[in-house]
Amino acid sequence: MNIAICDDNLLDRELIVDLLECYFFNKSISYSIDQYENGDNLIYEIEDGHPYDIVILDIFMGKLLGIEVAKNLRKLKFNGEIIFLTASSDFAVDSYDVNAGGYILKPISYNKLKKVIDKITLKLGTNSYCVRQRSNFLLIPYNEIVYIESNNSKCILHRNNGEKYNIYKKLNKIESELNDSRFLRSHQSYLVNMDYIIEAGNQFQLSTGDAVLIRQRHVKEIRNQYLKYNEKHNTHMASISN
Amino acid sequence: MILENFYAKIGGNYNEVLERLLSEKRITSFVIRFLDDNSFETLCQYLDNKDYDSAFNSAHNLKGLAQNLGFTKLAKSSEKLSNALRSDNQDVLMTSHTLINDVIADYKEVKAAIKKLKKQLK
Repeated sequence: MNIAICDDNLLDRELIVDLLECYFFNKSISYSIDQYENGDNLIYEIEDGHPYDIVILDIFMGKLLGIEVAKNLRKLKFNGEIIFLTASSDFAVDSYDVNAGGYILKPISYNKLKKVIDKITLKLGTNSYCVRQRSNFLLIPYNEIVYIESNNSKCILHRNNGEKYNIYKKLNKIESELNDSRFLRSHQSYLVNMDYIIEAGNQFQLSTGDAVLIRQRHVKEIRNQYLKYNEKHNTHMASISN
Repeated sequence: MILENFYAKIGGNYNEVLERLLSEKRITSFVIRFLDDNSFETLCQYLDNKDYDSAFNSAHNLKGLAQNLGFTKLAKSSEKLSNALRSDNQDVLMTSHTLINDVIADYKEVKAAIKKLKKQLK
């Protein structure tokens, strides 16, 4: 689980990081936490394709307000969870249509943080796919799998941090092992995690910059499967180019 | 005991902070680091230079931090000050030059107590 925390005060940020580390301490979820002092740097990182599952934003950060940052992130097709840190419970964030995943009322507390993160981990699911790396076994959370392609006698799993893993199984087998509705078999050689699709044309463009092939004979059907999934899971439609 | 005394001395509520931040170790660590935060210094500078927008940012930061760490008095006085600093009403804005005095007093009290705390922990 990749988390970004954006708050212009160092001590406040570090306190939240400390509480988050406490939260993850005995859990079997791998996680990373990046700190940002202002929304601009966070936006640049996300523009560059850095994957975050959760972004925690302070509502008020001097020049660039948390709300503005959130709006920009959604414009960039960021589909991760956005959580606001706010002093006021009647802050009408919903009206800004940024689809916030939760709010944490100041002052910060472990229990408030736990409540929100618990809800999100439940939503994201802790499903992981087991991959063999030399003599180690690695558990890769489903939400970190961008796509899997078959290449000659093996498959390559592309993870959202840029890492690639060879899997010596047929793509059909991997697809049935994953058994999850977010994975779409767009092509004989491609199984794609639809949460990473940002544009659906004759290929699927992904938020990581990759493109994944669509079986030409069934382009419309496959695109429709994606559209249905997107409607169900996200408030932001990808653009359809022809 | 030491931390409880610290909070009692500055009019804060130790139990409230403990409930939120869970561990004495964490609270102590961040209380001590509070001295490294420069929101108070910048607040005074900006207010002196009549840069009310920047002063508001600093006051707002100071308030947030004081609330997180349970420095009740400082949180209240910096809240009053930041509300004045964000006002469109000139008269209200000008009260910031008086309200700052409470913030200064409360901050000095917290600072002195933290320095004593550090000595006690050595």
